[in-house]
Formats: sequence, structure tokens, C-alpha cells
Amino acid sequence: MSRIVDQAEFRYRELVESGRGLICTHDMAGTLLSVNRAAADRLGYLPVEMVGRSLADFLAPSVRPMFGQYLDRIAHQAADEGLMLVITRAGEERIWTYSNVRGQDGSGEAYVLGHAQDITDLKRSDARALEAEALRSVAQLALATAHEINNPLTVIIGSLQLLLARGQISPETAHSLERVIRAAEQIRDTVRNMSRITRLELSRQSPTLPDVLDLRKSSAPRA
Amino acid sequence: MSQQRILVVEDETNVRELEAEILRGEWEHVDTAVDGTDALRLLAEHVYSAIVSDLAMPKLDGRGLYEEVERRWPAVQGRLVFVTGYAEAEEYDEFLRHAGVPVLAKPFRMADLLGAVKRAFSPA
Repeated sequence: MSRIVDQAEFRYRELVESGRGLICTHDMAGTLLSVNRAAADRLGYLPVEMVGRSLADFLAPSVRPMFGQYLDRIAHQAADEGLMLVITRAGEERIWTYSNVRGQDGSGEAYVLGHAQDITDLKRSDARALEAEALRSVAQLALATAHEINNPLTVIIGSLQLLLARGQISPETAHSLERVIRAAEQIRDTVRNMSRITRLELSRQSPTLPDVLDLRKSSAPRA
Repeated sequence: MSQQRILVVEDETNVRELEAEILRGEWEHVDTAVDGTDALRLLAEHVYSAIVSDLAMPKLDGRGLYEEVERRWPAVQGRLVFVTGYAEAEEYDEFLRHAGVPVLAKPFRMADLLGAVKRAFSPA
């Protein structure tokens, strides 16, 4: 009978220790009580290096201030779930989705059992799909705009050149007309660049202005 | 003024008038058509030394005009020049590669239009 119990316990330990799921326990102050190998591996540590430290130490600095709110939630409700941004020993930020539950150990002490999955790659491919969709919309808009702008621009540039070619104007007027033609040709070049958009490059013109699409970068061939 | 006759095919009035005006500075006989169908009517009446045509047009577009000219007046086909916005050029990319007709991008400089028409008189 004891051998069967031992085997069951061994299998149970293996499930936690060798399974691919990211599992930990921590006390109500957030100090790690145990970490399975998969979770420690993901972060670039040994389980023994993590136990005794605060879970907050392994969160990305940008989300660390929210750790207190998490501890409040898990202290008042039986469970909490969401996304956490962790940081590996090498400094890489990874996105984990977690589902944690509060329990009691044999002595009645409350603790939290945490279970997480690394969804960084999934999130990144979602982001790439979103960018591709945005790129398609921008490119369609650019083509439609180019179509509408080219005809009036043809008339502006061509008519000014006709005026110049007739030669019945003063040198000053001719100089001004040349300047307008150059400006119109700048519009032409911008419209052509818009039609060649192959990726989205946002540039911040000034801290007070919203991000804008940088047409020179977006339409340049990818290096 | 030479005796060459030129046809301008363009649905956008302002562009059509501008092209005709530029060409009339060099050649006496410049006719205009508002689309491909209108152009076919004029092609049946006159022999043109050059045909300057838009690509995207209602009724009969530049591609349709090219095909009709190829069928009815094959000798004139080499005198075609397409004038098109960059956006349409993308749409007609495959056709233009296959047809091998010279393409002038809008907006063009006067000299580019005159040069393209002169080259159409004696295609290489």
C-alpha cells in the first residue's frame, strides 16, 4: 500500500517538477516558497535561486509597482488571473498569462499556488498580424489618394510650365512660377512615396504632437 | 507647324485640355477624345501620328483601346503612349509589361510629354 502511495506521490511530483507548465507557490507577502524547474528555466535561474525572493523581483520594472495591487486582490478573493510581464536573468521581457489561486497549507497558513504560461511568441505573432493589416489599410488609402492627387497636380505643373514657355512674363514672375513648380513636384514625390509604402514607420515629430507616418522611411526599400 | 495629327484620350477635362494645349504649341492638328470609345470613333476618321491616352477611363479604358487598335489598325499600335498616375500603373502593371507601350507618369513635365510624342512618331 505504501509503495502505491509513494509511486502516486512520485508521479505527482514529476507532474509539477518536470511538466512544461510554469508553477510556483508564494506566501501572502509575495515571497516565493517553491518554483518548478520549467518556470525557473524560463527565467534563466535554478529553482533554489528563486525561492525566498519576492515574486516582484522577477517582474519587469515597468509593472513592478502593480505587484501590491495583485497581492491585495489575491488576499481578498480566492483567485486572480491576467497577464504578467516578467524579466529573465538575461534582461529579456516575456509575457506570461497566469491563473493563481489562494489555498491553505497543512498548518492553516494561507499561500498562493500560481500557474502560468509563456505567451510571448503568440502575442508577437498577433502584433505582426495587426501590423500587416494596418499596412494593407494604409497602402490602400495611399493608392486611392495618389490617384486623386495626380490629375490636379498634372494640371498645376503643366499649366505653370505652359505659362513659362509662352515667355510673356517678367523674370520675377518666372522665378516665382519656377518655385511653385518645384513645390508641386515635392507633392508629386510625396505621393509617389505613399504609393510605395512597404512597412509602417511611426515617427514622433514633437512631444506634443501625435505619432505620424514617416513616408520617407516607410517607402524606402528595406535594408 | 507640321502636318502630323495627334489624338489625346483623357476623361479628366482639365488634364485633357492641358495636354492638348501643350501639344498644340508644336503641332497644328490635335484632337481630343473623352474615353476609349470616343477615340475609336476618331481613329476611324483620321490617321494619327501619335495617340496619347490615359489608362483608367470609363466605358473603354486604355487597355481596351490598345486591344481594339491592335485588332483594327495594327500599324497605329506602335504610336500609342500611355499617360498614367502611379497608382493606376500598379493596377495595369502586367498589361503594360506585355504591351510594351511607352508610359509617361502623371504629373509630367511639358518636355516629357513632347518628347514621348516625338518618339511615338518613329517607334524604335
